[in-house]
Amino acid sequence: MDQQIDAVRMGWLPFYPQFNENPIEVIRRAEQEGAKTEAEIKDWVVTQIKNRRLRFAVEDPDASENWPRVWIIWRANAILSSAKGHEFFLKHYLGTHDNSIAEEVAKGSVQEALWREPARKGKMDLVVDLNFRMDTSALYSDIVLPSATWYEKDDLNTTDLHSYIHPLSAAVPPCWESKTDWEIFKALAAKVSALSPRQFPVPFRDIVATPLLHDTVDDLAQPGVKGWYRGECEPVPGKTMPHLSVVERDYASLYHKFCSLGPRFKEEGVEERGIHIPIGDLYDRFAASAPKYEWDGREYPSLVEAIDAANTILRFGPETNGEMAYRSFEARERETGLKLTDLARDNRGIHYDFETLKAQPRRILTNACWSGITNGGRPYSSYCQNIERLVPWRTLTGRQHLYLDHEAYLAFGENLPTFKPRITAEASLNLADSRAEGECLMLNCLTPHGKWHIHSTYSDDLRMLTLSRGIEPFWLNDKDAARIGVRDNDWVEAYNDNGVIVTRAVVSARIPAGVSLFYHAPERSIAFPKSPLRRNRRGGGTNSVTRLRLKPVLMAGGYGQHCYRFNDYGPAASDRDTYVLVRKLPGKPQW
Amino acid sequence: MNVRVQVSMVFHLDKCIGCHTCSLACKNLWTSRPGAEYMWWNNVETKPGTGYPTLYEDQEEYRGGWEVKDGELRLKLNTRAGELLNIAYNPRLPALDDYYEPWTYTYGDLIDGPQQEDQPVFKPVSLVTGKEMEIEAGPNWDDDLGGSGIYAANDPNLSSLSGEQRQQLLNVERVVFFYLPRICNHCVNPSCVAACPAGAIYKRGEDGIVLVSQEKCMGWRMCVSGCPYKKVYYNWETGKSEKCILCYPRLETGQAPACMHSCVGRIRYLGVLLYDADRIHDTAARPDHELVDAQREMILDPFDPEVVRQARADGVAEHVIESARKSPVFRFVKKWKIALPLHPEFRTLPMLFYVPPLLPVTGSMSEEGLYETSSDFFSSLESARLPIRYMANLFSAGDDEQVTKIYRKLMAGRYYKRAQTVGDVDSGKIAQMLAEAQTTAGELEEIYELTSLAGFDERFVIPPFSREAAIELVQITQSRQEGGGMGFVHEPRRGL
Repeated sequence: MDQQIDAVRMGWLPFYPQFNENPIEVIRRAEQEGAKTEAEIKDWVVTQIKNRRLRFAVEDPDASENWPRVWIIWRANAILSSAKGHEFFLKHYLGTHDNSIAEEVAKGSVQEALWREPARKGKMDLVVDLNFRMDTSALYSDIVLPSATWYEKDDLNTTDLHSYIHPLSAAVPPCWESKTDWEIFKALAAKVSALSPRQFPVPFRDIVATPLLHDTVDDLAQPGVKGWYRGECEPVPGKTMPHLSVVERDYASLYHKFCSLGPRFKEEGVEERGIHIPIGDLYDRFAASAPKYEWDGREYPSLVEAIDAANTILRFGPETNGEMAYRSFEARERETGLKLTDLARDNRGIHYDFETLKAQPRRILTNACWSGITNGGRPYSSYCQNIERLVPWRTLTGRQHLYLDHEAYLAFGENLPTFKPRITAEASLNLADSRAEGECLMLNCLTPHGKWHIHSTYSDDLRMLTLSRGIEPFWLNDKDAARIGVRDNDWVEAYNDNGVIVTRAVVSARIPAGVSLFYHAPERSIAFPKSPLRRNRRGGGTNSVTRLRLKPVLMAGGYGQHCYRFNDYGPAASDRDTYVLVRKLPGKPQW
Repeated sequence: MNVRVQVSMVFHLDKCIGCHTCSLACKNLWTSRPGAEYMWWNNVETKPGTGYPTLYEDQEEYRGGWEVKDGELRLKLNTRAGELLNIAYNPRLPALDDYYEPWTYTYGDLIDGPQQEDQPVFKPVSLVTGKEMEIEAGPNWDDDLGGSGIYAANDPNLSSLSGEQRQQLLNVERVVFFYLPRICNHCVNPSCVAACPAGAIYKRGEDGIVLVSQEKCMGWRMCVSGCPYKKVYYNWETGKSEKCILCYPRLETGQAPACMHSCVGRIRYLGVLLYDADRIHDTAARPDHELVDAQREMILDPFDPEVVRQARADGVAEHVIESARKSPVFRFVKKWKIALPLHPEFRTLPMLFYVPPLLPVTGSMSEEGLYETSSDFFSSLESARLPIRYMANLFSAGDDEQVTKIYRKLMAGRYYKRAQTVGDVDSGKIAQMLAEAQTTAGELEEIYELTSLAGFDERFVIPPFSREAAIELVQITQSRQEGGGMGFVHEPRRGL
């Protein structure tokens, strides 16, 4: 936790809520004390932080003013599948039943975090879930907004794992009361605007802290690790601490803003992977032909319909507009001094709009924001531009390198990749309070991708459950299984301090002795029975036996390629260090 | 010579990743109906494994297919006379336990269930009885279970292996499995047709697809017993038997069967084979070790002028002959001889073929804890994870030499391409391997092209459906168009 607090203070990682005070109130106080311009407000806030009159929320996560309070879930089974340490989420976020028996152990070992006893529960006031199925996240939510499925909405899907852009097009309208994601968010915007005259009659200012970001000048911010809070340097936003921005919130106009493509986009252009692509002329051309949305006496390109939004993205994405791809290489040429635009010359006139994609999924165009070269039907492979065209790698040296001279890596002895043995069950603390019950095995529990489980609900479908075991099973080595009298398809209870899973066993010599597999991430509501060991409460899912334990060096940022980027660079959890005890379920399963 | 036409498929097992997308495409299209839930016209089995229905390959138990007795080819099930005597009593049928009890879940419990102090779940209920049930079996129960002492170890194809060989398959370093997709084999000597007392099953003249007439079927289920592949299923709702129809409505409109169309690994090839119907009986009655070669001889070469002349004489259309020349199946089966039928010893002359998989090499943990593969992993058949005998039991009636010949060619192909792309194999070694495999660089290039590079149009080659032939069956074709299937006879009625 102390590492996490350091990382937030130094701008290495984001954390929300940001401060121990409502950021709107922070601005009001700043204004009362004479700060007017953005620069004055930021100075005032820095002084407050430096003097500890304003604190980062992460420093005291159990203080009620620092609870997150509102959780909007979209396109995820976040409470189960994404929540590593699911049972702790149930306990501390939702304040509902859970199967964890882990004791708090950090007392005395944390210096920077304020220690409060008991650890607080139920930090969420409101959980809203946009969902097309009644999964665990929906079951625990206060409000479920039923959403359209793949063939009921116009939308775009893509990933960096293949080179196609998939359109989803509405073959049929959404069933019953469900709405498309776009319509749901639009309706939320409309409601906020409708309520604003009473709650927020005039626009107001808000202060936002953001971490030092990958592929920006922030890569050069911190050549050494220095903590301003330890007096090692001055707190300077965007250098030694997070960026601070003053943002105007105009909630009364939120709906109009949602529905229109604003002028700042035209002025600022597209910024991606360290390059800036100007779009002024493209915006004007687009605005001339795009559907219009008018408010406050001005006309804007419309984003009212989902297709309008999709077409806007496709028009300004270097992946789907050849001119944008060409300009991305022009920008990269300016940055590197290399000749690169030939990679985009042949595609310069190509532009995919939603109708084009509906006719046939298309591959992304070769552009400088991605490192592959797909011209001439070549399969996508990353880093081709770096190898073949000598575009510098996005690292400190511009080369592939193994040696990391970040001071945090040096301090942890991880500046060169070295073999590190698996941690022991004792060190994992997974089994500190769990006891072996009868014939029991202690196993390392891995939660890998199954062949029908790649971050998808596919394996939860009746067809796929029929083609497997009707439930997500627990895989055991044959000799291990024999030691506790478990045969194939017997019910087993796998438990540790974090939680418990009750399911069927699959026994196979393919699994090495001492190891078990439970593929992630099956939906918990699919036929999982109760656990006699945990007060006859419902057995959990993959993340019931995991807990969130972040690798500290991956929090380190502010220097070269180590800077944070959403879904790209940041701390990963160490699930492979999970240990469980496994026994045969006594008696018949109970639901 | 009597030239007939067969639409035929090749499965390249090295490319199958076991995703079961073919099974789903088939199920969603054809068998998601009451009474058909347990039918998997297309399924994918993990091998070694017990298959679906369980242990279906054990004909001592099920008595499917044909046998040669006293020089006579006859149904293993029983003689015609015996069958009539037993017509109401058929003990050789797989029962529900040999398949599985299909289920669904009480999904509504998540929304309508009673208030409770715990997370709600839905439970399995039987699609047969509607009651809550425990799931003890499924259509793919031993998925990925190579090395299972219960399933893999009981694969009937392991029976002729030594005890040591069988034991090795359970060791984690030796554990191995591959996938075997199966549909109806659309046999040339189909035992389901022969077993049917009602004459309800027939093999289509134009393409060899075997079909069950839903009008004529009387539900005796002799076809279920008679088929050694257990690819005819009894619909307990309609009381009739059903089977894979090779998606003939799709074929007739120029589309690939759903299983093939959806195949992620592009393992399937579809094309026309010409064969000599005069040789069917003789071929099916040959000794076990001659079956593969005899069937290959029965299949005709569409480039042979004699075959072409006879084909024309037998009414095979010109564009069908042309298609047979472009057939990828012809090349795998007859020209390169690297695809084999599944269980030729069942003597039904199955007309779907498999390129056997080159399995991973063996490796082991060294004393230092490093994983090491054997150094000769491209060349040594002896170090293949699954003994050749196992493959021979599947694809060549136990004749090791048939499988070995294919592996020599496939391995020569790998070595040859490796020499080209990596360059770490010396040319003497390549020449030696090509000679041993009795192949040439040209042939290996061709195999490589069709295996690794071929687009859909090269993998799916069938002649256009002869629409005029269908029309002239039912009406005079010398009439004007409105009588011939275009336009409407009466105004269409619309609205709900």
